[in-house]
Amino acid sequence: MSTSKDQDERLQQYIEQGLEEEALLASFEKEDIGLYRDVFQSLAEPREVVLSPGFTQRVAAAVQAEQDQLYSAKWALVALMACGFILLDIGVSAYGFHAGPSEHMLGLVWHFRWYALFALCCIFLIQALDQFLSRRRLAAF
Amino acid sequence: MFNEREVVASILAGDVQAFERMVNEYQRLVYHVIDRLVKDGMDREDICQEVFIKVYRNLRSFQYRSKLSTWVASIAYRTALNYTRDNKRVGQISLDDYEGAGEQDDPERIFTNKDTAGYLRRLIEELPLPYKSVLVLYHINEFSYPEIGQITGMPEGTVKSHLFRARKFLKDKLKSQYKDEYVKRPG
Repeated sequence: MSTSKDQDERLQQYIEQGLEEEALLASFEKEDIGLYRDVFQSLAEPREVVLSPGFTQRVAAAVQAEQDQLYSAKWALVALMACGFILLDIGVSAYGFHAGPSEHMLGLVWHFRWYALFALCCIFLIQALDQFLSRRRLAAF
Repeated sequence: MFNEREVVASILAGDVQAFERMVNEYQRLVYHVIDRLVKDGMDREDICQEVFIKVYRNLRSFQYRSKLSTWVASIAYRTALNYTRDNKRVGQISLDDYEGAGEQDDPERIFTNKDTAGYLRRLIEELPLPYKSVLVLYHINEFSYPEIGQITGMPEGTVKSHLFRARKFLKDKLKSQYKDEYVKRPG
């Protein structure tokens, strides 16, 4: 015979709270009491934590690497913006005061534009490769 | 003594050692959530690491509206869901329709089922995710009903009902598996 929902609810409460006086449990089937005891015992069973001994350090290293990366990215952006402003300033000043030589200089820069672009791409590629290898090394740590 | 406000403030100020303290404090909690909810064959340690990295990235958004442990557990829970391929499907399964470990015909399993604890463990592992989540958070991690509600996004009433029904389901399965054995035992 299966117990009603209310009875099951009450029995779960009693066993969970450790209220196991005979008078209290008299209205329940012995079989159900035994079954619930096993269920609660199994649920309370402590589980082993299987993490490697260096887990904390590994996580901290990953976080530190991320923080460093963010920090250097911030400074790289600041440096890039500063360079841009300086170049703009030099360009505007040079053009304003010495139009002839600055046109020659700009022409020179324009002539080597593909080399400059290639150099810039190489810098970004090296950066990306460096980060990729660093991450792999961290993962293996 | 772990003071969560102090530790959070130190981490936000860039103290990596404070973060290590936090990892030490909550690694057990995170591991238990991941271990029970994520399917076998996945690298639990990597998932735990992912959880802590998410915790670190989002720490600034922690508003102390709940305990830090509840917040960390909710991140672990959501990460575990991402690794549970069929979470959308099992989310719709009711325990009434669910048969669970219906292995009575398998002789090898019948033999191993002599071990009640082992049988129950397997039953818990095979429970639909919402029921398993509630059981794990309540019994293994010892969260309260409102806290489980915060972690899983379920209303408190649903948490209570899932917990009751999951336990009853385990009891009924155990009953059908062992039949007469419990009647013979002394109460």
